[in-house]
Amino acid sequence: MNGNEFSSLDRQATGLIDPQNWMVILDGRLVLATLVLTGLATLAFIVRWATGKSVPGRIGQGLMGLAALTSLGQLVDRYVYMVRIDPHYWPLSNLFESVMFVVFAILALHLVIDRVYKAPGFGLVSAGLVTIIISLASLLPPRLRDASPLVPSLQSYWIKIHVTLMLISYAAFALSFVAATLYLFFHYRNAFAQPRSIGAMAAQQPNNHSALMDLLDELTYRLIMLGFPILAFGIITGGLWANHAWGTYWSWDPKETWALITWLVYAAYLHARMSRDWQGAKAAWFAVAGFVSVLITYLGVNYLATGLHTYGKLL
Amino acid sequence: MADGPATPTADEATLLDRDQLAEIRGPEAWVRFRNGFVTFWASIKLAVVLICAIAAASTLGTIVPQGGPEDVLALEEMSLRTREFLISIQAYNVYYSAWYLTLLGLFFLNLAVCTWVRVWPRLRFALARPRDLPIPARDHMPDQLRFADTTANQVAETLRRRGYRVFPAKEGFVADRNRLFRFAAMVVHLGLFMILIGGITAGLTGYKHSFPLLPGESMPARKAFEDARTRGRLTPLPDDFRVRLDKFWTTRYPDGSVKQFYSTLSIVEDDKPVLSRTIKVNEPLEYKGTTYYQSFYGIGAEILTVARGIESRVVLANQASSTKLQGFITQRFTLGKQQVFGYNPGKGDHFEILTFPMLGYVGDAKPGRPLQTNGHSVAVRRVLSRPGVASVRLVIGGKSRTVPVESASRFKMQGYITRQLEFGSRKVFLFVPGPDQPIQIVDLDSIASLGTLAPGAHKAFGGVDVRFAGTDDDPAGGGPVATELVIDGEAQVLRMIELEKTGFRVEGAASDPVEIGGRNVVLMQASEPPGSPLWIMDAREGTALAVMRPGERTDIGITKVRWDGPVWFSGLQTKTDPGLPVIYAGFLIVILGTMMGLFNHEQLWITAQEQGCRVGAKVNRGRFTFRRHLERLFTGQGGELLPQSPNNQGAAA
Repeated sequence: MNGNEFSSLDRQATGLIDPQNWMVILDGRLVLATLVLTGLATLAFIVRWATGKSVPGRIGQGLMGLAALTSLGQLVDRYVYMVRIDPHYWPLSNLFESVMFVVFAILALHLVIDRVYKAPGFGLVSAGLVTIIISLASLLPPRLRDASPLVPSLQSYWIKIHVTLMLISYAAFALSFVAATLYLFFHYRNAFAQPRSIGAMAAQQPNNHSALMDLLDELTYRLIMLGFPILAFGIITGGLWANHAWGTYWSWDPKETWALITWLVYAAYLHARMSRDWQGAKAAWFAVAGFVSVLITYLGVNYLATGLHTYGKLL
Repeated sequence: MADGPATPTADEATLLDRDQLAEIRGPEAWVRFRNGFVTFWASIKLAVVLICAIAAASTLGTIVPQGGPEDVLALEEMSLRTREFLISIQAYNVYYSAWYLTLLGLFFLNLAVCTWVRVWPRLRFALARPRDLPIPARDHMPDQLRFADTTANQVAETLRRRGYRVFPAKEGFVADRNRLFRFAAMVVHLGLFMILIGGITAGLTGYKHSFPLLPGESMPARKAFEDARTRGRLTPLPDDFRVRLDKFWTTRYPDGSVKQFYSTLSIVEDDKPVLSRTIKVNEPLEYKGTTYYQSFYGIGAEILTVARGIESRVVLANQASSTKLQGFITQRFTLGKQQVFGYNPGKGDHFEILTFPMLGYVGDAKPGRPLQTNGHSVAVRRVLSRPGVASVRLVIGGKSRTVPVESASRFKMQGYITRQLEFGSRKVFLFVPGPDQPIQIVDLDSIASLGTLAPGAHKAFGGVDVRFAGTDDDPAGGGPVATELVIDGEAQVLRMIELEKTGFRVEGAASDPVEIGGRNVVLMQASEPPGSPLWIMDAREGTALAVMRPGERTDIGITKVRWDGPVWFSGLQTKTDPGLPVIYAGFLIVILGTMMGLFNHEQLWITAQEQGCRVGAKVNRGRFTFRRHLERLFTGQGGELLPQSPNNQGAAA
């Protein structure tokens, strides 16, 4: 499509960013701070898991909250610095920036969810996931990490709406994946443990266990119910933007096709759940499949790397 | 879409409603057929299967490049058989292929029937006065609370304060909240239908065209309409006006990368400009339902030709890729010492036999009319054609073989060249297509082959005796790295570079074939290096007729040609799309519907007891959070949430 010509223009932004500027230095420090905080939170949750005490859990939550602040700070810092160079700038314009935003969205959403659901293990898996994501993102080459001004097709207020919505939906789906993984973990641990100690398990906490499973099942479901409209909104604003920029709201570009596939997978999940056969572990596996589709949309398509969305190209 | 199984029994019942069926006159078989049809097509399981099928089918188009069969043929990592299979299922155009559209059609049929049978009971339910609705048996109330002291009135008051609608009912109250949100799925389905209708409308009544314009040039709306790549059958002819490019410019960041590009356009009606506006990417211009988008740009050329006193302009402003050959080519084969291939322009069954890589014309061959040349014959036996793929059976020097035909757009000059040399007054370079091939001596100015030399052979070029000693191949298998020549008795070793790594590439812009001076020519300008000369190539022979620098003049036949140098052109895209408002409305409704899914329909039945009261509750999804909500709502009033009984977990969604 015509977008290729814009996106393949070589962006040599090196001359635009002053590495000595305090805001640029702060940017790096805040990324590091977020990584350290989430790493420490993971440790705190491991201690909580091992000891069964609630204090380390609360410390973990606090660290996650601080990490949400530092990651938000990093985005704001980058925005304030770059907007002077390019008034259209929005700090979600390359892979690294988008990852940092997803990290922020996961952390913020996690804090809200944990207040309501208090699902055991949720903090640990979320914190671990976020730590891994930031570590991987830090390994990206500078070309994908450093801020650079926007190519012509991205210079639109639509970037602020479309990209932000897409990434928030990814964050919701990432957390639904965390919940589904936990569900499957408990499900299979339970399934394997049962033959050995049927009596003990049954006597111990049958109700509690089923309440835990219901909680995780519902958490997965509600997070998908949250991500689903946001993804729809994101895809549609992408269509509006494309129509505004190129006169085509849908062009079957790999990225938009994969976003649609993701939406369809989750739509299938929501429909399948209506049948009683498809609740519990099957539904959890379905949610995992949905997240695989999210990953392909978000990262995988960039490996294929043709089409309109080549901005976050990995290679 | 996002609805729980709150009233599955009620919904299923409507499918088998005897009264409804009795209304239909006719043989019972018809009734049974109709009933079976509805039951099958209204099934949610079918919906899940179809959604998954569409999702799976959609992945195909993200793996196989979308375009034409030639793009599939270019996937060399796949076997020819796989590629032929992919072509036979139209994998190069999945989203418009008959089977994909059928799948979509089935999905929308399913969606329609499914929505239709469910929307009416649900509407009846939503519009009914709550006190008229039957109170379910206690066993059907999934969650229950017992109040020891609080009266039904007090509970009702709490609910009212919290925004529930509360109605008096037999022995107590009925309360609910978010009733309309049950329609979330229906609303999404409606939105999807509107998008479908809008899409069909666009396909039938819209058109889309993209074209380049040089400053000063204009494009009549009706010409764009006629040339349009996509145009619906019912598209109305646009009004008679023209769009003129007055000015095109780009702005750049300090580092030189393009920041934005702009075109100042004028709408000209009856030779009078009626509107003038500057557009850029993300800022189109709309006039009388036609929208003009800034889409691309590039360097073009314009030559002025004067023949018999008539001046005309030939414009080169296409974004051509590596070649202008369109159609199909065979794999290369040797004819005597010459590497050749067959070229078919995409129609007919004749093949032009062209030399490789210089595209020299050897002759035509078609079934029944073999080509005889230098004691060799090339006969086309049979063209095995399929959509876009063919193989051709050739008889070369008495031996017959089948040569698969591939798309010409794959054709690129490949091989290795040396730096430029001087043979007498001629500037030449050497070209080798690959290891163990004879070397070609190529005239630098005309890009025409002066002749070939096999290892050990020698020939005179422009009075210079040249002997070709051989090439040194890259031990790693990368092709020749050096070639040894003996020029007038003096040995020279010349380094060879892969053609693709040099500026020499026929990549850049090329015009469509035009006639100048009685010859069919193509104008070409390499995009790299900047300021490359303009080539006027004989379209058939592939040889240069003229190489021009800016400001130069030349003669082709009796025609005088002048070139003033490169100019920027602006690429515009124009379209009309009457379906757009419907699609946008559909978009809005889908967003609205999916968001409605975030709210749950909560129902409560409050029954007064001799002492205190009992509350039965039900939510259409999110039972866990609902129970927690109930607990929080009523713990202050001494409400005791009864444990979930294993018998009535039905509504846990």
